[in-house]
Amino acid sequence: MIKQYLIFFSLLFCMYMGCAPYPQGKALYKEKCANCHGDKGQGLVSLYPSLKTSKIIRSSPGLIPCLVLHGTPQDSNYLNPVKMPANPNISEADMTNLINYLLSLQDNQRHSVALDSVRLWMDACN
Amino acid sequence: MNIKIFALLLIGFSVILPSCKQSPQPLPYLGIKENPDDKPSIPDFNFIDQLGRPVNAETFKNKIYLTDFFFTSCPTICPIVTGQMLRIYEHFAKDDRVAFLSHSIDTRHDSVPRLKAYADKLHINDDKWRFVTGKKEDIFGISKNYMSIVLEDPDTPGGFNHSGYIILVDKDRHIRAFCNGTIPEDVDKLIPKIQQLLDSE
Repeated sequence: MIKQYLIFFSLLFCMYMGCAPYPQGKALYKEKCANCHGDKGQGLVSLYPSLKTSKIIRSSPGLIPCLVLHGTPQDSNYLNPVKMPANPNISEADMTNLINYLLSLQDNQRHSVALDSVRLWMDACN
Repeated sequence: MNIKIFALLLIGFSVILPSCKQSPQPLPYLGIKENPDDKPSIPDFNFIDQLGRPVNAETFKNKIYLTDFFFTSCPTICPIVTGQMLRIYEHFAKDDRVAFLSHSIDTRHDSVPRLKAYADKLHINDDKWRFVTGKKEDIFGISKNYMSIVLEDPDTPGGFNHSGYIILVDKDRHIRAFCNGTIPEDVDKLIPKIQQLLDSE
C-alpha cells in the first residue's frame, strides 16, 4: 500500500514540477535550435525543417552530431537559402542530452542513445 | 414592481450592457514627429523583389501593408519574426487589401535568386508578400522611417543587429501600429488592429 502511495505522489510531484524528459537537452535546444526549428521542433513550412517528423533523427541519430557541430554548407544553387550555423563547442554530454531530447520529440519514439555511442559519432565527425 | 420581473430585468441588463462595447479608439499616427499633430509618412522607395520586379510606393497603392527587416541567413530573431509574419499572412491570405513587405538588410548576400528560394520555401504568393533588396543605404535609411533599428555589427551572430518589429502601414503610407514580432502575444494584439484599419478605410 505504501508503495502505491509513493508512486502516486511521485507522479503528482512530477506533474506539478512539469517533469519533461531530458531537461538539459531541452534547455540546450531552446538556446541553440528553437529560433529556427520552433519551440516544439515543428519547423516553419519548408524553410526550417520540422524535427518532429525528421527521418534523420528517427532513423539515423548518428548523423546529428556532425550537423550540429559543423552546420550545413551554404548552397550555391540557392535550393536552400538558409544555412544551419555551426555549434563547435558542444560537449559529448550536452550532445547526448540534445539528441535524446530530439528523439523524445518524435511520435511513438522510445529509444535513446548512450554517451559512448555519441562520443564515437563525434570523434568520427571531427 | 414584481420581484420576479425586477430580477429578470437585472439579469437582462447584466447580459446586454457589457455587450454594448464602445467602438475602439482610432489608431494613432506614429513615427518621428516635430508636432503632436504631425502625420509622418514613409518616403518614396525603390527596391527589387524576389522575382526581380521593381517595388515602390505604387506597388502598395490602395493597400495596407505589414513590413519588417530581416536577412535570410539570420540565426537569431528573424526566423521567429518571419514565422509571425506568416501567421498574419495566413490570417489575411484572402484579403487583397493587405500586402507584406520584408526588407533584407544583408544586401550583399541576399540576391534576387536567394530571396526567391526563401519565398518559395515559405509557400507564399509572390504578389502578396514581397521580399526586397536594394541599395544598402536605401534600406538602412528607410528603416529609420519605420522606427526600426538596423545596424551592421560583426560581433552579433549573422553580422547584423536589428529590431524585430512588425509595422502596420496604411494606404497613405502612415504608420498606424506596430508590435514586437518575436513575441506571439504581442502579434495577437496587432491582428485586430489590422482589421480595425481595414474597417476604417
